[in-house]
Amino acid sequence: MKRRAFLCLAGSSLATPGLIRARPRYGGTLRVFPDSLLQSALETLLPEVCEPIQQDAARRMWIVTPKPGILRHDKTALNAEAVADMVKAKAPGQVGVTVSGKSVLVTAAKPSVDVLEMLQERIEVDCGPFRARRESGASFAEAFEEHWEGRPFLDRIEMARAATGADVAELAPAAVRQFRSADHYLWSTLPIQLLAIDGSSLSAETRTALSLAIDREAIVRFLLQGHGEIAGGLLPQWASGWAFLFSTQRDVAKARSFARATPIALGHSAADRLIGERIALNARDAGFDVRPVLSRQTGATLVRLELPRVSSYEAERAALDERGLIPIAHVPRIFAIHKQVRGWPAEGEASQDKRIGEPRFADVWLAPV
Amino acid sequence: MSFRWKIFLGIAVSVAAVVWLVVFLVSSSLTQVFEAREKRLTATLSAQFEREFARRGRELQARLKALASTQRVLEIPGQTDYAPLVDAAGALSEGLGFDFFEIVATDGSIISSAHWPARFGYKEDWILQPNRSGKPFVRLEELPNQSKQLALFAVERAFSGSNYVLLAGGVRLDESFLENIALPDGMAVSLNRQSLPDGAAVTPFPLKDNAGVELASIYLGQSRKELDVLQDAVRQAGYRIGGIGVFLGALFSLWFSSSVSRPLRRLAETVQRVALGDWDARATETSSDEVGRLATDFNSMTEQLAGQKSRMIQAERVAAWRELARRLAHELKNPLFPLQLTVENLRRSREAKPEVFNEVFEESTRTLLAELDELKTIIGRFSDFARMPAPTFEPVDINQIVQEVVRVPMSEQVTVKLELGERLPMVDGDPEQLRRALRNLALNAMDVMPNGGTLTLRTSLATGGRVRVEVSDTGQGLTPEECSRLFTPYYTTKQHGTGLGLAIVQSVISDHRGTIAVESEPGKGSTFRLELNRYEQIAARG
Repeated sequence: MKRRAFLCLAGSSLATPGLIRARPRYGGTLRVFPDSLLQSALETLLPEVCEPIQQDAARRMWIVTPKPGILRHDKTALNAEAVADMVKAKAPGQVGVTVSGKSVLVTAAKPSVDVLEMLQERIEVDCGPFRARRESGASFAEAFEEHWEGRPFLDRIEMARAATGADVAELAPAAVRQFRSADHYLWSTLPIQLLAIDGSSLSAETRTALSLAIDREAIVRFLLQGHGEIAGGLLPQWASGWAFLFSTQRDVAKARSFARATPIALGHSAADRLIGERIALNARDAGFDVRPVLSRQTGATLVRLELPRVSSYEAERAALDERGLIPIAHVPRIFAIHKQVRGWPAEGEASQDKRIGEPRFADVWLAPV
Repeated sequence: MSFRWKIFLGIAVSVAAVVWLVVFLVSSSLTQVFEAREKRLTATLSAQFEREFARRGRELQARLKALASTQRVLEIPGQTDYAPLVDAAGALSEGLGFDFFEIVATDGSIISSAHWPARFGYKEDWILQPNRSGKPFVRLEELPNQSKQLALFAVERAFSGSNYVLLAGGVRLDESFLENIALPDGMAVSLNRQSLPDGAAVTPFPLKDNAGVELASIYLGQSRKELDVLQDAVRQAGYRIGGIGVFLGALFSLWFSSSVSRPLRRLAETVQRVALGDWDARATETSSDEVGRLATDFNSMTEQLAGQKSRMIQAERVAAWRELARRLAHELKNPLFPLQLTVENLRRSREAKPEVFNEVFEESTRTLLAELDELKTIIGRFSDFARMPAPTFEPVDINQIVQEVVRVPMSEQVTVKLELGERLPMVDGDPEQLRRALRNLALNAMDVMPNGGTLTLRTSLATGGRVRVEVSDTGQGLTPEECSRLFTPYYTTKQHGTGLGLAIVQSVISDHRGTIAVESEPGKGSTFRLELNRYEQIAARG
């Protein structure tokens, strides 16, 4: 969810024909559902406030240079020292951090790909267009007047109690058909998430057997209501072009030929409960005792992952085995957008690039009723 | 155990046994009454269960039928794509009170399941069985957590033209289901036998599916608390009545045993007095019952015995005088005959041979004097026997008497052995006479051991609190006949005995109201056994 490598939604919304017709308006409160959207509004990652991160050929040294003139939410300047402290807090003792002028020099004892990933995806900075506030026990996001890119249009973003009462609501695929509102329209991204079982604690044989036992088509067609694509690999066909090489066929008889494992607890989120139960049923057909559990602290876990970066089929195959994943489906993010909301591309107006990124609330504004 | 205690215990045990028997019979009757009541209640509840099941089944069936006729359901049959219907069961059954609800296609595959939405597409073969329609039934429904839940199910078909789908609805058969069944006080019903109260009488009602397979049981618990309370009350009453009965029985038995045993005790005391020689003692005749007659008969018997004893004493006295006269005549005859011969010889010598008369006279007078001495001795012995004084009683240490007896010099060939008992009570007696009697016995024993032997004097406590003294020798012993005549005056087994020694001993012991006996076998010596009264006995009696 943190990934900003893909295109943001509304960065170029001002250039769209729809927005040319209307002038952005400041003020107003946007209600979102669920709370993960509020978190998205508050999150700003390090790359957004830095020049492109430089990496040496040996992958042992990285240079991070904060952009000039950026204020943090406490209204202090974001300088090299502040960035150095953030890096140290995220990876204490794992890397060397040195301030060199206006840049921060990060070094590792041996070549690493994880350090760059950490710098790009895991370090949040308190310099975003909205800052966290709490009032009467409720959390909300408040516009940061001194944001380096200018104040956002919205004054405030807060949580709604239900999807129907929200201006922007993210819907689970199974809930899309049930969502009925004349004031909202649906907007979905491309399948940008991988629904998979994190089976790193299982044996390769068990993972293979489970993969053969799962009826992916039924999951996508019934439980995801068609919002998604059957997945056998890490990347969808539109992203890699070789996804068809990964088998997604169900073969219960073959799955039965593998040795039975001890009972497997399959952790899942509340949103993915039915998918977990369906997988348990499928696994039982193959002779496995899989027990769905509403928890993340289990041997195998149903997860939704951002699409990884892989450059070839072999690399993807290797990454699949290395991470112990059992892909199930690639799923989009689906939002119900109130007609009053502007700065969010309307259906048919967004390019493919806009359909694979995170929502950008700094560009959203509310039209008058 | 005294007679009084026997009566008391007898009455107490009888009362307790009767009370226990009554309590047992009452408890048994109560148990039977309650068991019969339990059976009636169980039969009633069994019918109530069946009615309740039938009622719930009808309700279930009616709800399904109503649902099957709704437009939303009628839109389902004939659809080719069931994917949009995957959550239809939950929406359709919402608020209808179903714990389980499924929409099933005609081939048995689940279109939508409200209680297990992930199970769409799986087959429910049981729903296609011919006996599943029309009548509610019990079945074990599998849950997502792999457990099974007992449920009451009904199946209804929803037609749209010639197409139809099956609606299967069910409610849990759990404790909440059973809570709605009206039960009389003291009864409980549960699917879990262990949840019923301890001690309850449990009757299981098997729950079977349409095929007759027993799936589970409902357990009806009939509290036995009421019965237990009643039985406790009966037992408590029994204990109280028993306790009161035993207490009153004790009082009654004490009074009764006292009234019964008092004449007997007095009769026993009279018998004891008679046994001790008080022939004037008479039992008090206080009643005309068996005890009174016994006292009368005893008095009559005592009078007869006293008369017989008096006559016997008279006879014995006559016999004794005769024996005394005979013995006296015999004893006196022996020296008189030489006296007569000597006097006649003296007279014949003076007439026929005057020259030797002096010589004969001298010799004859010596003989006469000797015989006269013999006569005096005999008369002296008789005089001694006749002069036996009445004993002067005082506390006597018998061990000291025995030690004084053996202190007199005896034959050197005889070994004297003393075995004296410790802490013996004082004897009521005349020490001089007792010393004389024991010395006689000791001297007799010395006489029967001319070639040496062992004289043993032994003292001990005899039964009845008396003191026993034994004098044993290792002489040649006595025959039974000798033993029987041994204490007869003038009977002796010795060549020069007068036969008065043991008679004197017996006379002394008799005067002390004691007893003397002899135990002997030929060749094994003899033992004379004396038993004397302790000093307190005599004092108490006097």
